[in-house]
Formats: sequence, C-alpha cells, structure tokens
Amino acid sequence: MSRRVAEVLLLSGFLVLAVLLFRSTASYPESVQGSTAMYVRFLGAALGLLCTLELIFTLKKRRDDDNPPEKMNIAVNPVRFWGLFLLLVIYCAALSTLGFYLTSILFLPVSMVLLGARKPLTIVLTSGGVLLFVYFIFARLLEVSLPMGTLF
Amino acid sequence: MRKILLLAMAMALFFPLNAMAAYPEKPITIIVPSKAGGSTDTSARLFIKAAKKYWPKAEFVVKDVSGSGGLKGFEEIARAKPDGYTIGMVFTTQIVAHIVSKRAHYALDSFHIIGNAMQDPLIVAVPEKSPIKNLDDLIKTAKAKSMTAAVNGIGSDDFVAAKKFEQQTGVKFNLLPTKGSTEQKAMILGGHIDASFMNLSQLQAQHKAGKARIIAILADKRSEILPDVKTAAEQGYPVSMTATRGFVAPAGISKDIAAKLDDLLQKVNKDPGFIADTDKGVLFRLPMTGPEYLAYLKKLQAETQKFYDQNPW
Amino acid sequence: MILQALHALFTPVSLFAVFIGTTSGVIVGGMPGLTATMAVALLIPVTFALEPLTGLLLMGGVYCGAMYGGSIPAILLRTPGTPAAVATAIEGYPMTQQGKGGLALKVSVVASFTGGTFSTLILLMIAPALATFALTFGPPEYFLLALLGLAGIVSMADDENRLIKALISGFIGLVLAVVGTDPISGMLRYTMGVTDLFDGIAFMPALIGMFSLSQMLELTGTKQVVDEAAIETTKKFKREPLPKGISKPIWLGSLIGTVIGILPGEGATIAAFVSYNVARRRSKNPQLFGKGSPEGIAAAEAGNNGCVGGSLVPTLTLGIPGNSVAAALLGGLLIHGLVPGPELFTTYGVMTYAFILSLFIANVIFLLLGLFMAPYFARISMTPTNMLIPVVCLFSVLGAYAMNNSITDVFISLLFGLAAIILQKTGFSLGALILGLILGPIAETGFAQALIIGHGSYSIFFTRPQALALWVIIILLLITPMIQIYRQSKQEQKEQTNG
Repeated sequence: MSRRVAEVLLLSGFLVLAVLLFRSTASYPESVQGSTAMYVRFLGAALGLLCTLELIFTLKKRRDDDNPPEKMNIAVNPVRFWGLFLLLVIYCAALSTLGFYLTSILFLPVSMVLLGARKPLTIVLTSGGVLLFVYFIFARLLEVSLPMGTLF
Repeated sequence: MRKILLLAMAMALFFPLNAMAAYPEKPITIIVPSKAGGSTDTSARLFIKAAKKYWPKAEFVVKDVSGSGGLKGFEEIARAKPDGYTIGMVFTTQIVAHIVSKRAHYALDSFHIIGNAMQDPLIVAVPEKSPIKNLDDLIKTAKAKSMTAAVNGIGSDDFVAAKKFEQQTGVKFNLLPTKGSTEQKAMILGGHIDASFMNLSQLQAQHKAGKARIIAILADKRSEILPDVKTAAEQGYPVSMTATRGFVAPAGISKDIAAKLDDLLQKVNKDPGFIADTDKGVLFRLPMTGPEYLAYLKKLQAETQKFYDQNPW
Repeated sequence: MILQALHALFTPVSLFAVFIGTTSGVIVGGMPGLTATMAVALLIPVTFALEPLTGLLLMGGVYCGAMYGGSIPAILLRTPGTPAAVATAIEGYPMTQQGKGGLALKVSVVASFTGGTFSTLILLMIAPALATFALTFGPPEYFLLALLGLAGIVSMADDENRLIKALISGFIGLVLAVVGTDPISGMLRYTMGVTDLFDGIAFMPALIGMFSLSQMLELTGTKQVVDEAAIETTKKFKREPLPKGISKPIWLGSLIGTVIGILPGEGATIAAFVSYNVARRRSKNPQLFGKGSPEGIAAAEAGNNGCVGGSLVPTLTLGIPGNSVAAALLGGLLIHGLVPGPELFTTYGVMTYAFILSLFIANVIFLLLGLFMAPYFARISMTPTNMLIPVVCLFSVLGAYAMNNSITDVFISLLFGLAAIILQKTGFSLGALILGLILGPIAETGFAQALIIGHGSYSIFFTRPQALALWVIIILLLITPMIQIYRQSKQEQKEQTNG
C-alpha cells in the first residue's frame, strides 16, 4: 500500500467519524443541547471540514511521474515488529488469568530471543533482576497491586 | 501423574477447611473505590491501623480502584472471591445511585454488609461576600431569581441533597455539576456561584478561616467542630443528608468469617486510638452494625429511585 | 520566624526526611504509571507516627522529586514518567538518538531546579496575594486556558506535519476525549458499556502506548536507541558545557509554570506545553524544535517544576489543592490540625516556613542527584535493544495497568501504540493528538459550566477582564505562526508558477 492510499483511507475514516459524531448529538438530553452537545457538534463539524479540505488537497496533488509512489513502510523488520506486537497482545491477555509474575517470566525471555538475544546467562539474569526489582519496589515498598491470576 | 492429581485434589479439599480455622492466614485486601489520599482511602488506612491491635497477626493491603464514581471498585468487590480475603469500602449515595441508574453490575444483595464507620454530613454554603446568612434568605433569593448552585457530579450525595432540598422547599436551582470538590471550593471562594451543596469536611477549614460561609448543616444535630452552624431542621427545613463510608464483603462468605469481620469493625469503631485518629483527621464517625447499615442503604436506594424517575441522568 | 523555621529544618532527622522523600520521589516519578499521589497517600498513615514536620518534609520531597523524575525516561526512552513530561519527550528523545542524552538530562535537571526554586521563592514571598488572583479564574477562564494550551497544536505543525494534518490530529484527540460521562448531564456517551471507559479514555495509558510502546515497536528494526554514528559521542560525554541560549526559555518556563500552577486544576501538563510553545515562538532556532532542541526541554521542564511551588499557593492559603498530590498533602496538613489560611503563616508559621524552605533543599538534592547520575543514566540508551525492548515493554504494561488497576487500560495502551505508528507514518502529529486528549475535558467542562453560570449567554466569555486578557494572549500566540504559514504558502505558489 502506498502512503497516499493510506492517507486517503485514514482521512475518509475520520470524515465518517466526524459525520457520525455530529449526528449523534441529536440524542443528547434536552438540557445540554446548548452546552456539551454544542461543543461536540462543533468538534464534529470542524473535524469534518478539515478532513474534506485535506482530502481535496491530497487528491489534487498530482503524482510526480519521476518518483515512484512512496511506499507505506510500517516496520523495518516485519518479523520482529509483528512478533513483538503479537507477544504483547498475548502477554496482556494472559495477565488476568495467569497473574503478573508467571506471564512475565515467560514474556521476557521469549521476546528477548525473538529480538535476537542469544546469551542464556544475560537473558536469565535480566529477567530475574527485573522481576525482583518489581517485587521489592512495586509490590513490597509501594504496595502497588499487580495483576493477579484467576487460576490460583 | 495420578499421584500428583490425587495430591492436588486432596489439597484443594483440605485447604479451605484449614483456611477457615486459622482465618486470617494471608493478607486481606481492602478495595477502596476512590483515589489514593482521599478521605475514603484515609479511613481505610486508619481502620487498618486500629484493626492490627485486635488481629495482631493479620495483614491488610489497601487497593485503590478509583473511577466512574466508585462504580469500578464496587463491582470489583462484588466480583471478588468470597473467601474473606477481599473486602472493601462503599460510600453513599454512589453505591445505590449506580444501581438506580442501571449502570451497576451488582445489587445490594451482592454484598455482605459489615457495617458503617464514617460519615460526612452535607452542608449548604455561600460565598463570603454573599448577603445570604441563613436558609430563609437563600429560599427568598432563589424564588426571586435563578440561583446557580454547584454539586459534585450527577447522582452524587451533593446532587441528591440538592434535589431533596428543592423538593422540601419548592425552589429550583440552576444546578452546576463540577468534577470533584476542589472545583466547588474554588468557585465558592471565588464567588463564581451563588451557593454550593457539599460535604462538611471539604469546607469546614474555609468556614473557620472566614473565606466562605456555611449556612446550614443537613444533619440531625450540630457538628462538634462547627457548633455555631445551625442544622437545616433548626431553621425549619427538615432536610437531612449525609455521606456514609462503610465496609462490605462480597456476598457468600462463610458465616464464621462474616461474624469475625463484623465483630472486628464494631471493635475498631469503639477503639479509643481510632477515635482519636479520626478526630485528628477531621473525619466524622457514624458507627452502624451490618443490619442497621443495610436498612439505611435500602431506604436511600428507594429515595434515590424517586429522584431518578423524575429526572433520569 | 524564618530563623526558627531554619532551626527546625537543619536537624539531622529533618534533612534525612527531605533526602529520602526527594530520592524516592525521583524513582516514583521515573516509573511510568507510578505517581507522586500514590507515594504521598502511602505516607499519610506513616505521618501519624512521626513528628508533623517530618511527615510534611517527606511529602514535600516526594512531590518535588517526582516532577523532575518524570523527565528521565522521557528523554532516554521516550517514555514520559508523568503526563507533564510529554513535551520533554518530544525534544529529549531525538537528542538521545543523536548521542546527546547526557546533555539533555543535564539541561532538564538544571531547568527543573530553576523552575522549582523560582516557584518556591514566589510561594515564600507573595503567596496570599497570588491566591486571591487565582480565585478570580472561573469556568470561562478555564475554557480559555485550555484554548491557550490547544494553540500549541499550531506549533506542532512543521515541514513534515502540515498545519491541516496537525489540526486534524488535535481534533481527533479532542474527539477521543469526549468518550465517557457527559460532564453536565451525567449521561454516558460512546462508552459501549465498558465500565473502564465511563471516566473517559485514561490518558496515562494512552500516552504510554503512543510514546513508549510505539517507540519500542519501532526500535525492533535497530540495534540501539542511539544512532550508530552517534555512539562515540555518547561514550565521550563527560563535562560537556550546557548549550547556549537555554537561560531565556528556563526563565520563561519558570514564570509561566508558576502562574499556571497557582490555578487549581491540571496544572503541570498545561504549564509544560504552554511554556514549550512560547519558547518555540520566541526562539532564535525554531527549526531545531521537534528534532531535539535543548531550549524546548528547558522550557518544558522549568514549566512543569514551576507548578510545584505554584500549586502549593492555593493549597496553603485557601485549602484548595492545585492537583491530586497537593490534595494528599492537604490531607496530611489537616491530620495535624493545621487549617489552611492566614493562621498557617502566623500561629503555625514555624512549621509552614520550614516546609516551604525544605522545598529549596529538595530542589538542591535532585539537582545534585541529577547532575551526578546523568552520565550513568545516559548509558541506558546504549543497552542493546534486544534486552531493552522487553524490559521497557514490561514496565510500560505495568504502568498502564497500575494507574487504574485495569486490564482494559493495558489494551487501550496497545491499541494507541499501533495507531500511533500508523498515524506517524502518514504525517499526523502525535503531540497534537495528545494535547487534544489531555485538554479536551478541561475545555468541554469549562465551556459548558461557563454557559450554565452565564445562564446560557455567550457574553460571559467576553465580559470578564481575565477572560479578555487570555483572549489577547491566545491571539498573540497564534499571530506569528499564521503569518509564517501564510508567507510560506505564498512562496511555494511563486515557486510553482515560476517552475
């Protein structure tokens, strides 16, 4: 996907959002039609106007024939990028069932290996050190409540 | 493999029995449905300090789950495992207001009510420079022109107090909902509004310093820290409203544990150290047993329902 | 009385309390998701057992230290420890990439120190008079103050982010800020029944996602935070002198921070952005902004630390806390029977003045700590990414969770992280979006409340003197960039017609 297409898609999305937002204010209670509903209507109108303007500009700007269209390049290293993102999603999803410590002891080494770390000693020491730090500073000293598992 | 399974099953069966015998044998979490450092949070921490005297081996942990007017915290208490190791605090009117407005995923019987500990009576305040000196003045002025009165959010104790007051006296305020009592204070002190319904603890210092005027306290009797402020009833308008802060546990905890917790709260409520600490912290006590508090909450819910039906939010 | 206060302060116990408070404040502030409020709340029961003064000194130290601490991860890892450090991250992180992380840290600590000391001085000298001024600000003024902050969106526009895109980003932020409970009617809007959204999208998790997580995902393609060419510079960092031209933004920031801090409300974040914006307008090197400008760091850090002393003005004189940390501090005062007001400066003067004076010491402590530790902290940016990314991700997730104890917030954080990457690659401005998200609720509430107070008439925004003054400042801030943009577009047109 070229950057131009991505931009047009995003802008159209925002435009739809603006229209929906504007229309939704009709259902606000009568008492706030003059205050908060007005504010939200203004946001919707302004956002819609700006998106329309930008859409026109983007579409009008003719593509330079000399330069090939700019590629939309989300990740330099797609395997690591999406791998890490996936790991993060799994990590967060597992937090509420397995609890903080168990998920973290799995997440840290796995993501380190994914990102190219190969020395077992460094991996183990870093993971352990981080978790000990969290235990002492967060859990014991500051009494921050960490995600607890429902399994245990 | 089989042995391990058997062992696990045996342990699963054995542990709850064992736990009950020695309750509490691990830390008890108290869920506080408000921000750290607020008066509910402070109440919980003072409770812990006093409770350690009676349960020397017990450990307590405060977990602040703030947000959505306490809703998130209340829901977390209701959802918690009823093993006695998670209890929590509730405060009115929010605990019932969420049920009434159908936002809550709980009902009053989702909780075992341990009892009440603290309260904070509602007051009516006006700016320092206001000519209004008492409720009669206020009502006279409100009937003559539209008066702006601040309340801390919709469905809060302030809001219900203002609605009760309107109903009793037949006046109508131009209600201004604020986010938090700080905003209310700043507006009263800066004279941006005509009146404010708020809690006693939030403005007593300013009243003493002469920066704002409390014209009525919506309670049955005068407060010890401000003996010069008349109650609303004394001025001929029997409106009473207070914000209570009590303790609950999730419904379904075993009778033994419930009895132990009930007993602990009653002991703490009478503890001289606790009383001294609350006096120092300008927190007002209102000891109630579990059944008393439950009856109070039920009555409040019916009342709030009435206001919601008239003007839903 | 000041002498007595000094006497009370210069005892080993008191000094130790200030030291411990400040150091733990820096640590707490440096961890995203851990807030000074949490630390102060933990201290409240402790203060029952301590001398009243010792307890207050601890809390004051935490407050000062935490505001500075937020800038350390913001500079090194683009992970703001507090929302007020976002502007610092925008300028500080590029400096780290250029191998100037140590220098950025030094600028930040010196600016923080100056801002903190200046505002404490103001607090000491003319607190009561200022408090009266703060009270004249009502809802219309808060709405305009939010507008003043939003005017910064125009500044976010540069060569890469064109003005319209920056504005769109700002409006997207404002729209996202609408999610939650309607501040006036109490109605729920756009929450999809998710309880965690009833209070709106929590902005600390959103911030962690947009700045920290997105950056960690981006870094998967590189070996180190620091550009390869700049590794040598990072290693060489020893006694590099402070860059020239930062004293003006520091003083601007200190002044703006103190003034905005005095107003009760979300002070520090607005203060940091407004000072950043003003510094950018008045800078001789505006082209450096957004690409690692020490002046930007200096203004933002002086601004948010200026809020510390400022926010204590209404707290001590009127009992109106400027923010949640000041609120917790106020609780600590009340517990010891200290009633905010004139008495605090007369009857209890010794304790009050000792407390205020201790803030100076706290500032000195974090200055020394920051200067001494800067080279060591700067090494963090040299850690290989395969170790750094997982660890920072863990703390980011933890921070997003700990703010409200909510797993939903963690997912919000992830979502914002991915969205941030896409938006950035298509030329939208993250700074503008965050500005909208943070200031949206203040703007909306101020707007709607002002209309209630004004019984529905818009004239309330134009009749009050303070409101008019704010209008003038807003227009002044907008004029210069507008002229610039107009000239630029004319030039472009000329080039096009010529070419």
